Amino acid sequence: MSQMNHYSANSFSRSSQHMDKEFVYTDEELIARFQNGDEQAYVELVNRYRDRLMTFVYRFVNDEVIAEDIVQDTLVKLYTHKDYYRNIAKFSTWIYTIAGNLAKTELRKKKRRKVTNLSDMGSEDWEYQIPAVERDTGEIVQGQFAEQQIQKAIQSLPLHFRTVVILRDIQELSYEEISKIVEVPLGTVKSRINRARLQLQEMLKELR
Amino acid sequence: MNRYQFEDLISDYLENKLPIAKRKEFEAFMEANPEAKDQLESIRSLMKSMKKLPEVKTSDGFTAKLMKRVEFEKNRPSAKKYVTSAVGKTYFGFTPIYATVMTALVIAFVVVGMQLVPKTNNNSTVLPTSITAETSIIPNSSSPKPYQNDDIMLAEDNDSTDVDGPARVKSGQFDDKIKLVGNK
Repeated sequence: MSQMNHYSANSFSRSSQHMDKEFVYTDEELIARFQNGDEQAYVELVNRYRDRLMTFVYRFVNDEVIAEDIVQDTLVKLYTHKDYYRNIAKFSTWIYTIAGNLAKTELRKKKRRKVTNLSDMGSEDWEYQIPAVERDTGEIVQGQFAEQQIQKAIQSLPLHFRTVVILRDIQELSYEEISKIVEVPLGTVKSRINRARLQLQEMLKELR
Repeated sequence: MNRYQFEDLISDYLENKLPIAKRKEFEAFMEANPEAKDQLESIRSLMKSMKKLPEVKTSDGFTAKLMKRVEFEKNRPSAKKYVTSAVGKTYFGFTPIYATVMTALVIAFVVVGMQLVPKTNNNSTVLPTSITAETSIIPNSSSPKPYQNDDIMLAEDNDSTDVDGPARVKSGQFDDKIKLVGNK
């Protein structure tokens, strides 16, 4: 019970940086505790990662319901495959890899469904229609309109560009972490991020 | 520097990862090409906007739903092999299943190998086998003095017709019928 309080004091903080140092466990310590049978450590990992993963997956698949299902699958996999984690990589790298792979699989399935039934219009086809709002040219990159346009532009990127730019510019991961998650060399990651930004800028330049 | 080279370096410039010399060259190109400067500012602005995108939160019932699924997975027979703790249950880095398969393969290899060896090396094994047989016979024979290994060939000459027995042979006293090569 004392252990539960020990964790729950910090359970709902998004970032561990603001936690009381006395109570902070690193992600790697938590997964080690979980591997040794401490289920409360699993709950703490879920609380730390569920929104981060949700943001990543949503920006990737552009559908909240599907994104939440993928995050659920990721966290169930964390539970069932906990012993597959080895303390040679950061926990965040491992969990983002699982989520990214599941998201890619889902997108492939979605693409197949679209090919087989062209009349089946996905929610993303109507959800991000440009709303009839007045453009305030001075504040164009801010607010809901800009967010929707950026989201739409991200969706039109090829998958290998989309993954890296979300991880870098939205999730703010390091190049090294991204390189491990997508399993490509560091130089390729840098090049892809640069290309992705150029493509996004090209798509969104009319907004500026 | 041309436009392509400039575009390749935009992210490095924005993240302060260009060496000073390259940075100066980059800035000189921007000064000479206002549209390049616009492009850079546009990307800088885009990066800021992406950082400001709101976090997408999971729904209220997320954790409860997750725990239900976890319970379900725990009780699912096919999932139990994963759910049950396997910490320390690896053998030389192999999971028990792979370790079993590997062990079976090694045993199969050894058994098959043992069956193949006598057939392939038939000629080479005859001599050692016969020698072994003889050496194993000698100590068990009724001879009062077992021969040393060096005397094996001599011992073979001392067959049943040798009435003098091994004692004479050993002392170097040969029968007159035997002529040595050096005898004139």
